[in-house]
Amino acid sequence: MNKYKKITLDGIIFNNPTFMLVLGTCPTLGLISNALSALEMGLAVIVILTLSNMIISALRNLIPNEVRIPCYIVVIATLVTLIRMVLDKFLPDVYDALGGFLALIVVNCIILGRAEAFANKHTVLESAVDGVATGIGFTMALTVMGIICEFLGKGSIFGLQIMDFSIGVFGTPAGAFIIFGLSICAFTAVIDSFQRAKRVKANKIARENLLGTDESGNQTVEEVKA
Amino acid sequence: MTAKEFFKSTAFKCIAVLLSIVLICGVLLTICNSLFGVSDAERLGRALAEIYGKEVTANVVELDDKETEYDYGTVNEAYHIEDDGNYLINVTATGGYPNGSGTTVCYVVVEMTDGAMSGIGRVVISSYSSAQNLMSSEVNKDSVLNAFSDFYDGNNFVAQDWTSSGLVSGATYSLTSVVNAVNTAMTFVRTQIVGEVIVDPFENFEYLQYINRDATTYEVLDDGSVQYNVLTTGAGNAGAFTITVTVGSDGTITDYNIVKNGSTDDHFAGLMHPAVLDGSLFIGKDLDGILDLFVDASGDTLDKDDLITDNVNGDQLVTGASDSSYDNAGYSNFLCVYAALFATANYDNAVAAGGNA
Amino acid sequence: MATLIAIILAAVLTNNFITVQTLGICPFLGVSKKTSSALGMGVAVTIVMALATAVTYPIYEYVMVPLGFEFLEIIVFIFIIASLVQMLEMIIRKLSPSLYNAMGVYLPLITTNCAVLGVCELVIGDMSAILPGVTMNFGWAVLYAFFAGLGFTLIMVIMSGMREKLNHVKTPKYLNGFPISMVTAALICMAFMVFTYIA
Repeated sequence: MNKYKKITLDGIIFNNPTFMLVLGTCPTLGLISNALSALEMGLAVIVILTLSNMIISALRNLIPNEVRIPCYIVVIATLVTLIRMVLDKFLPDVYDALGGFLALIVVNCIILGRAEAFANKHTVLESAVDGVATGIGFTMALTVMGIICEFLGKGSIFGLQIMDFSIGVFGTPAGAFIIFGLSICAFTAVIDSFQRAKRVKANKIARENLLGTDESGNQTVEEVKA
Repeated sequence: MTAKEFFKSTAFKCIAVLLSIVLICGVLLTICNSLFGVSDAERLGRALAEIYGKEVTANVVELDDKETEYDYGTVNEAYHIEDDGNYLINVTATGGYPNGSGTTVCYVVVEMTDGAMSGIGRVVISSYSSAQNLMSSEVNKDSVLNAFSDFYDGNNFVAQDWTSSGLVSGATYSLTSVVNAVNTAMTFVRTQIVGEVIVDPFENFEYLQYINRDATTYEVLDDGSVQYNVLTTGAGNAGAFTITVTVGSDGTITDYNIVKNGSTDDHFAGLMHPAVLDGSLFIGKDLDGILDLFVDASGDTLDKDDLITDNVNGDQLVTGASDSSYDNAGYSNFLCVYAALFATANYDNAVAAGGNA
Repeated sequence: MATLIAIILAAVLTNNFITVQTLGICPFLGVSKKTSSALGMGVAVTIVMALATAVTYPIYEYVMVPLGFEFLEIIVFIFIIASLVQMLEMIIRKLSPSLYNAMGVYLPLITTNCAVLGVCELVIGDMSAILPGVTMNFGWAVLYAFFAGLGFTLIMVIMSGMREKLNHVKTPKYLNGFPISMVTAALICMAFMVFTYIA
């Protein structure tokens, strides 16, 4: 069970595809000016990523190493085409909102990247968990930035008018770049301080165990801080 | 390499796997396409739903064997809405800003009841020539566009009804092009789809270029004279004039009265020639007398641009260029003289047709 | 002639792939540390974009549409692009080893560059928002792809120049790397926003 927890945490936080690996930048920048289309894009990626991870993982012993990349691309392209058909048929509004970026999921490095880095080495179940987790990481990153960007750009969130103001630049790629850059900055800073705190705590416990006394425990913390 | 070796080699395996994956995917997609593919009719319905206001099933009306060119507009597309039997017509109409040369593309819903036209539903402006941008915000309002269904009385629309009811203050040219679009759509449906034969009350009439045919009426009075209620179109900077003209049985004008001055600006109305304003210039003149007003130095007649730019002197006053004090009202003067010309020239036609009032 | 100018302006300035359409961002951020590599990547992308459009546009218009196979466009396009890149790499390696050294290393990266697939998809779709009044045909499509590639190269080179200068600046710890590049890119985007008023 611990294995799946690690895969999940890695996908959502420590290897977050958007903030930590900076993959799939084109749809991110293109769609975060509108929180709803950002969320829709994320959901589409979750579906495609999970399915492609599962299929590629299932076929991993069958596909020869030499032609693996073309095989992956065909599988992904098929899935993208399928999603496009289904959306066009049943959710034409979503289809229009995502526009060209829907087709470009094929060349979204996250999907090919997870196929290459994870799915072809792990079981179907693990790959599925990884796909969902990474997809959620992508979706969350996009939605959060989408909310910030849409609020600054139009004063609304998910199309709901909250305040009556607008800063034009946040409706353009320039604003998307700024939000994206600063979000990466904030995310890494938070993760970094979180990991440092964890390390400090681990060090403290190690020292305490080593010295075996409570009095010197306070001392060690200060030493570490220094 | 023997055939057996080849079949065991990695190269063969690679090709086989790749090909089979492509094949499976292709077949899978083809099946899914037949399940989920969006048909052309469905796509058309979606596009039209936005214009029509609700989801509908629509059939394209073939235009190949139909008349699509009309005086003030061209029918581009026509759809028959299956759900309620109405027609959706896409028209490019002329008569827009500036000076009547701008065009507007409109979608017009023509409502049908029992196979006959019964009204106008929605009117949606889909695009207009770029010069019209400033004017169209005035026209592109629901109150203006909905007025078509309110004003409908079976006849063609007249843009002046909007101005007189206060729905539009300026933007008369943009409005005119929208009205032209609706009129064109109505004429198209009535003549080409319903099959009505519309008798043109101005058949054989001359000098119709600056006359609004939808609003101009004439009747033959008991004493043999013809009374016209003329609405001109706009020309240049001048708006449309409403003028009553009576032509006596001897072909001369017996009464001339400007009911509504097309110069919305008092300044220009004041610049018009006083003999035009009170109509005294026209009283007693027959066709030749009116035509004399149009003759320029070279003897050419009836070219608007010449009239405005070239000098016509004496009481041949059409342009103010001869007389600096009337310099700015050339178009207004011209329209008034044109109305008199239309009335005198068509006396015989009017008597023959017996009136359209 | 007017169409040609409209296409050049739209592709390079008003609808630049990076600053307006946000396509091809991965190489834009990844390969723009040095001007020489940015230029190499830009040229490689331009060539592949023009070639890919020259192949995919007729195949789509004259083969797939009449046969009713439009739904296979993604698979077909990505396959054509991948093979094209592969072929180009072989040809360049055979003909000019020096050119291969300069440009060849960027070629494999291009297959998954969304600017290439993006332009192929764009020219077969509705271009009326980008090029009002222009009826797409083979020639215009290839020209558009070529100039879109040049627009991409232009931004790549501008960006690399700024990043070379950025090396000499001390930035706050967490802004290092991608974040500061993106803020820089935002400034370029803003500068290029001015061109949207041309159209």
